[in-house]
Amino acid sequence: VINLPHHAKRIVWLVRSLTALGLLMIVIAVGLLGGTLSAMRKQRTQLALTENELKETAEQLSHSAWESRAEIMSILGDATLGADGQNSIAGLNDFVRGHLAAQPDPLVVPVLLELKTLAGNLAALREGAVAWRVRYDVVRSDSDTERTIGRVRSLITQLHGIMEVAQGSLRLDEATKYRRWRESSGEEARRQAEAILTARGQQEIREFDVFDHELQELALLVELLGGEQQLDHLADLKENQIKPVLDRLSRASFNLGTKGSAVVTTTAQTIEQLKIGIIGESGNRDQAGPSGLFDLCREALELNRDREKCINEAATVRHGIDAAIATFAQVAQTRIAELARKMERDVAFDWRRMMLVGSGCAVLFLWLAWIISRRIREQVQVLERARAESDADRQTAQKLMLEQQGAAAELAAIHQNLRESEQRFRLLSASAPIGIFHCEAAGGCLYCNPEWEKIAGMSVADSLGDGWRRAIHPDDQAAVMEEWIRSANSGRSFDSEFRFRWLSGETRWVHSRSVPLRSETGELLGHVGTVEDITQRRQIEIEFTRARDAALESVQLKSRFLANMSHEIRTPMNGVIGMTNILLDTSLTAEQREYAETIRTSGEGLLAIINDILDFSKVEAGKMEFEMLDFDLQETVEGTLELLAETAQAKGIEFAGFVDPHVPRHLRGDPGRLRQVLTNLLSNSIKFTAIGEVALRVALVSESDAEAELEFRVSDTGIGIEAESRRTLFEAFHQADASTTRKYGGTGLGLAICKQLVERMGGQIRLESTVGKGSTFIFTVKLEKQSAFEPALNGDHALVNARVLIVDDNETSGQFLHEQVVAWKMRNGTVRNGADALERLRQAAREGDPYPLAIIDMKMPEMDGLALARAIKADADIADTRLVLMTEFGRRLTVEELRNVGIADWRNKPVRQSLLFDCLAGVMIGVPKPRTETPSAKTSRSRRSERVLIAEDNAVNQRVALGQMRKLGYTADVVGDGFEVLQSLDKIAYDIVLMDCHMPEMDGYEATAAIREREGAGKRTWIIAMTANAMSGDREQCLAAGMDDYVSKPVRLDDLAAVLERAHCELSIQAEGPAVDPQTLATLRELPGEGEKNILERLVSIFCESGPLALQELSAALTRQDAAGVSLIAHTLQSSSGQFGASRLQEYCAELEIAGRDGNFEPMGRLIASAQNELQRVLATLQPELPNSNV
Amino acid sequence: VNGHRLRLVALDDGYEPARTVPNMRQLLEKEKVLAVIGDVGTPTAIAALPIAIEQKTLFFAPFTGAGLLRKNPPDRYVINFRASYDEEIAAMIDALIDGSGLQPRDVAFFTQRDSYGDAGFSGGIAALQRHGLQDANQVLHVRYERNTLAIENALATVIYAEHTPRAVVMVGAYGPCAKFIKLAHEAGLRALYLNVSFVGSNPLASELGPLEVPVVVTQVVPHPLDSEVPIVREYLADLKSFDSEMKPGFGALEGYIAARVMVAALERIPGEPTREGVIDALEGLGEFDLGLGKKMLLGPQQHQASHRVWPTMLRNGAFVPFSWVNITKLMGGGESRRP
Repeated sequence: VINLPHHAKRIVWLVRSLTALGLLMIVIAVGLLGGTLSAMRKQRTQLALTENELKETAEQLSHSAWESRAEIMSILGDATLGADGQNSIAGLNDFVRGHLAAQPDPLVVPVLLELKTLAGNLAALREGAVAWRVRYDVVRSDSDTERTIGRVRSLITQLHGIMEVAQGSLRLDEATKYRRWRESSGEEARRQAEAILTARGQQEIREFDVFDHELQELALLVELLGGEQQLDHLADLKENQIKPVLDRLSRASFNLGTKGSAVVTTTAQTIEQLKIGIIGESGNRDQAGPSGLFDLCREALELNRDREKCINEAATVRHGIDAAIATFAQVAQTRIAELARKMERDVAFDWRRMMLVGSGCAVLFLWLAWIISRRIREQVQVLERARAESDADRQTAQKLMLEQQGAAAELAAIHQNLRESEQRFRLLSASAPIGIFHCEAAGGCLYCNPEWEKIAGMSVADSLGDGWRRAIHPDDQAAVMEEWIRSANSGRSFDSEFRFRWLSGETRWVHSRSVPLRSETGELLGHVGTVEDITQRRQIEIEFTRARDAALESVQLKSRFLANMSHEIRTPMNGVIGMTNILLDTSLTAEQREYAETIRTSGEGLLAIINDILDFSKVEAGKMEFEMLDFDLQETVEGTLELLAETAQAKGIEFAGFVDPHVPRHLRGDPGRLRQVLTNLLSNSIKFTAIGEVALRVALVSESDAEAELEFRVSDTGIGIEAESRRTLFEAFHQADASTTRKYGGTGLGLAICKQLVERMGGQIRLESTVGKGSTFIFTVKLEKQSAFEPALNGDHALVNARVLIVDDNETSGQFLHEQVVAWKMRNGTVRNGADALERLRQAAREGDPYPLAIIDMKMPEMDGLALARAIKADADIADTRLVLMTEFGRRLTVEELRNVGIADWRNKPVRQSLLFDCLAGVMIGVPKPRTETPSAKTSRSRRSERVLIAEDNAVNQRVALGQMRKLGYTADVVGDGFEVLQSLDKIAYDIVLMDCHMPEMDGYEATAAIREREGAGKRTWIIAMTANAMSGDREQCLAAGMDDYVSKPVRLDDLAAVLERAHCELSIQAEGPAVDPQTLATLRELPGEGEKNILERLVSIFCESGPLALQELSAALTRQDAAGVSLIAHTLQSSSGQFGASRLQEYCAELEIAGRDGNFEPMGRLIASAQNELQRVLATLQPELPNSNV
Repeated sequence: VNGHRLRLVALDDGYEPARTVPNMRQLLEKEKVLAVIGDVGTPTAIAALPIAIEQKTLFFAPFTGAGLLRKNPPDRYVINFRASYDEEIAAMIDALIDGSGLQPRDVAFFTQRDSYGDAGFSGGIAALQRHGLQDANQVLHVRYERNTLAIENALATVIYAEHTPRAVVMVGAYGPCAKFIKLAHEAGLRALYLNVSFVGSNPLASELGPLEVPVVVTQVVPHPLDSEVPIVREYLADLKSFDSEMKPGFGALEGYIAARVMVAALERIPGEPTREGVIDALEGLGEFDLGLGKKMLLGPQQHQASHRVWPTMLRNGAFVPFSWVNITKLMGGGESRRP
C-alpha cells in the first residue's frame, strides 16, 4: 500500500505508451486500406464498362441476326411483303464493318471477319428468297389451278351427263319396244319379241356402266391429284393411275355405239379435252400450250420444295451467325476474366504488405500489455490475503440456527395435508360437473353430490334409499336394473348409456359408470359411481350422421355432374377433332397444316384430360366397374406395347417389353383396366424420357392353383423424381413439381387413377427413382387363373437346341431377346455391336459349331443392321448364317433393299412373341413367308355401294360425319332425330344407319326399337350406335336396344372405317338375294318359242352346259397365267348370265374381266371361287325350267 | 302510307344461295330495311332465313311453298302469303282420287333429286295416305338430277312399270319436265301431267309448243287475266299505269298481292313503323279481304295468309284457268286416245 504512488506512476506511463502505439497502428492501417480500396474501385469501374460494352455488342449482333432471319422468313411466308425489307441485313453489315474499324482487340477481329462473310451469305440468301417470292406471287396470283380443276370436274360431269343421257335413251328405246310387245298380240307380238332379243341394247347399257365406273375412278383420282403433297407421288399418280384410266376410257368410248355416231364422237372429243386438262397439251410446261392440272400441281409442289430449301439454308446461315456470336461472347468473357484476374493479383499484393506491418505492431503491443498486467497482479494479491481471514468465524454461527427451525415445520405440514385432503374431496364432489353417488350393497343410496340433482332432476333427499330408481326412464328401467345386478354379481364395473326422465317430463341421456366396493375378504360393501349428462353429445352425433349423409350425396352429385360435363364436352370435341381431320385431308400449305396438326393434337390432348377426369370421378364415386373376362396376358401386354411403340421410336427411345416365361398367360380379370394402367405408366415414361430406353417387364411373384400375383416394372432413363415428390405423386392433382406441370403438361390424375386401379386389382404400386438417372414404377396385381388352359409351347419344335446370335446395342432389348430365345430352348449368344458379332460368328465357324441364325437390330451406332448383314454375307465362312432384322415403326425399307443384303425376314420392334417365334421357325426351316407390302388405307378407298343415313342432332357433328363419310367413299344423308330416321327409311332403303343415341324428340334407342319392329323378319338395316358417353355398359345397352355395332364419340376416322367395313362384310353376307332376277325370268318365260321348246327352255339348256364349261376354262386359264384368256372367257360368261338377270354372277365376271385386262392375277382365284359358288346357285334356280327336270 | 314514303330496294341473287347471304347483310345492316319481301326460291330462302331471324327482321312472302318456312308454331319473323307445295300437291291428289276416281297406284311421281323434289314427294305420299294408300312403296317414284335434262332413265322405268300410271305428278324445273312429257308422249304413254306452281307456266308452255297433251299447273294466285277477280282487275289497272308495255304474269301477280298485304298492315301503324311493329300489324290483321275471291287470315299463330290453289291447264300453247270439276274430262281425253 505504501508503494502505490510509485507503482501507479509506472502503470500510467505504460498505459499511455500502449495507447499511442495503438493509435499509430490504426493510422497506418487506414492509410494502406484506403489506398488499396480506391485502386480497386477504379479497376472495378473499368471492368464494368468493358463488360457492358462487350455484352451490348453481342446483344446487338444477336438482335440484328434475328431480325435478318425473321425478314427472310417473312419473305418466304404468306404475308404481303413490306417495303423496308433491305434494312436489317444491311444494318447487320454496317454494324460489323463499323466495329471492325473501331475495335482494335485482336481476339475479336477474326470473329468479326467471319460475321462479315456470313452477313454476305445472308444477303445472297435474301436475294434468293426474293426471287422465290416473285415466282410464288406469279403462281399464286394466277388462279389457274382452281380454274383447271374446275374445268376438269365440269368435263367429267359433262361426260357423265352424256353417258346418263345415252344410256337412258337406250333403256327408253328398249322400254318402248317392250311396251309395244306387251300391248300387241299374235304375229305382231312375235316380231316385237325378236326385235327386243336382237337389239344389242343390254350389251351397250353394260358398256356404259363400264365407262361410268372408269369415270368415277377418274373423278376420284383428279381429286387426289389436286390434294397430293408429294412430288414423287404426283408423278406416280399421273403415270400409273390417271393415264391408264384415261386410256381405258378412250378404249371404252369406242364400244359405246357405232363408229362415227354422235355419242362416240362427242365422248372422244370430251376425253381428249380431259387429257389436255389433266396432263397438258404436250406434257411440257415450257411450251406455249395450256398447262395441264398435273403441271400446275407439280409447279406448286416444286415451289413449296424450294421454299423448304430456302428455309433450311437460312437456318444453316443463322446457326453460323449464332455460333459466331457465341464466339464473340466467349471472347468478351475471356477479356473480362483477364481483367478480374489482374485485380485479384493487385489485391493479394496489398494484403501481404498489410500483414507484414500489422504483425510487427502486434508483437510490440502484446509485450507492453504483458508488462502492465504483471504489475497489477502483484498489487491485487496483497489485498486478497487480508480479507480471507475475517470470513471463517461468521459461517459456524449460521449453521446451528437452521437445524432448530426444520423440526417444527415438519409437524405443521402433516396437519395441513390432512385438512387439505378433506377439503379437496368436498370441493371436488360439490363442484364436479358429473353426478357422484355411493350405494350400499343392496342398492340403497347413501350419498350423492349436488350435481346429481341437476342431472337426475330430483333433490338429494328424494334420491336417498331406493328413491334414485325413479329418475330412470320407465322404458329403460328394466334393462338398467338387470345390467346393474349382473355387474354386481359378476364383480365387473357397471358401464351403460340410458335415459333419465325428470319429474317435469323432460328426457335426458346419461352415461353412468360404477365400481363395486369390496372388503379385504371379498364381501360386497357397496357401489361408488358417476353419472354424466350426454344429451348434448347425443345430439351432436345425430347431426354428424346427417351431415355425413349430405356429404356423401354431394360426392354423388359431383360425379354425376362430371359425367354429364364429360358428355357435353365430348360432343363439341367431336366437332373440333373430326373437322380438323377432314381439314388435314385437304390441300394445305405447310404452315396451315402445322396449325391444323396443332389443333388436332391439342384436341386429342384435351380429350385425354377429360377421360382422365371422368375416370377419376368414377373412381372417387366408387363407380369404377371391373369386368371379369378370360384374357391372354401376353396378347394384352404386347398389344399395349405396339400401340405406344411408334410414339417412343419417334422420340428415338429404345422401347422393349418382356413377359417372363414363368408367368401364366391365360388369366381372368379386366384386361382393359390393366391396359389402362400400363398405357398410363408407359406413356408417362416416354413423356419424361428424352434419350435412352423405356422397358416393361412382367414377372411372377407368387402363384396358387387359382390365382397368380404378377409384378409389372416400367423402367425408364428419364429425368427421375425427387424423394420429396415421391410421397405425393400418387395423390390426385399432383405432379412431381409445379414446373414439371408447366413443361410437360398433364392433369396429374394419371398416377392417382393407376394407384386406385391397381389397388382394386388387389395390388400395390410404388416407385424407385434416382434424379437424373430415371424412374421405375413397380406394381403388382392379383389375377385369377383360367381353369382350362392349353399347355405351354410343345417341347419339340424347330428351334430347340438351335444356336442363335443376338446383336443389339441396347442392353435391355438384348437381354429380353436373350431370355425369350432361352425360354424356347435355343442356344444363345449376345453381342453389343457389329464388330463383335462378326468376330463371334467367325470363331463359332472355326470351332465347327456355326451359328445358323442371327437376330440383328437395325439401329446401331457405327455399323447398322444393313451394314452388318452385308459384312456377314461378304464373308464366305459365315455367309450361310440366316439373318432376321429388327426394325422400327416408320422406318421404310423396301423388300428389295432387304433381300439385296441377304436378310431372310424382318419384324418391327417390339415384336410379339408369337410372331418372333413364327419368324424364327420359318427362317430356320428355310421358308420365309412371302411378304407383300400392305396397301395403305389411303389408296384403298373407293366408292362404296352402301347407302348410309346419319342421325345426329348437333349441326357441327352432322358436317363432321358427312365429311368422314365422303372421305371413306360412302354416299350419306343426314337427319336430326329419330322420327326423321323413320321417315327417311320409309322413302329410301338405307343399308346402314349411324345412330346418335341422344337426340331430342326420339332418341336412338327408341328409333332402333321402332326400326326393328317394322322390319320384322325382312331385310335388316345395319345400325351403328354413336355415343358420347364413355361409360362402360353403353355398348351393352346399345346392343340390347337392337343395334348392331357401336362407335364412341368423338368418332375417329379409323374407328369409323372399321365399323363400316364390318357392316359391309355383314351386309354382303346378308345380301345374297335371288341368284336370278325373277322378273327377267318371268318375261322370258312368256316369250313364245319355236317348235316345242320355248325360248327360255332353249336358253337354259344351253347355259347349263356352257356355264360350268366356262368356269373350267377360267380355272385352266388362271393356271397357265393367261390374263387375256381369263378376260375373254369372263366376258362371254358375263353376257350369257346377263340374259337371265343373274346380276351377282355378272358382277364377278365383270371384275374378272377387268382383272384379266389389267393383268392383275391377285384377285382372280378368289373371284373364280365366288363365281363358281354363284353359278351353282344360278343353275339351281334355272334347272326347274327344263321340262325333264320336272319329272 | 300514313304520310311515310315506301322505298323498294331491289337486289338480285341470281337464284344463287351464295349471293343471297351478302345481299341480306346489305339489306339488313347497311340499308336497314323495315322488312324483306319476295325472296325467290327454296335454297335462297334457306340461306336467308338464319340472317333474318338473327337480325329480328321480318322475312315476308317468299316466292316458295317449302315446308321449312311454314313451321308450327310459326317463326315470328317469317310470314307467308301463298299456299305451300304440300297444299298444291294435296289439291292435285284430291282431285285425281276423288274427282276422277283414280286409285293411289295410278299416280306416279317425277321429281328433282333435291330438297325441292323431296318436299313434293313426301307431300304427295301424305295426301295419298289420307286416301287410303297403305304401302308407300306401291307408288312409282322416278327422279332426275338437278340442272340436267337426263330424264330418259326415269321415263324408261315408268314405261317398264307393271302398272302404267295414269297421272304423273311432277316436281321439277320446266326444262326436264317438258322433255319428259314430250318423250313420254312419243313413247306412247298416255297420262295426265300435273306440275306445281314453281315450274314456271310460261316457259313450260313455250317448251311444249303445240303438243296436244293434258298438262295441269297449279297456281297460288288467280289467273292474271281473270278480270272477274277484283284484285286482278286492280293489278291490271296498276300495271298499265306503271308500265303499259309490261305483260301480266303469275309471278308478278303474286308479288303484287304480297305488297298489297304489306301495305294493308302498314296502314294500321299510327306512328313511326318499326321492324317489330310491322310484324305486330300483320298479325293484327286477323281475317281480311283484299278481293282475292276468298278471305285471308293472319294472326300470331297463323303466318300464312292464303291456302287456296288455282289450277290451270295447257290449251293452245298457253295456260288457262281450269276447274278441278273438269279433271275427268281432261283425263278422258287422254283415255280416248288409247288404242
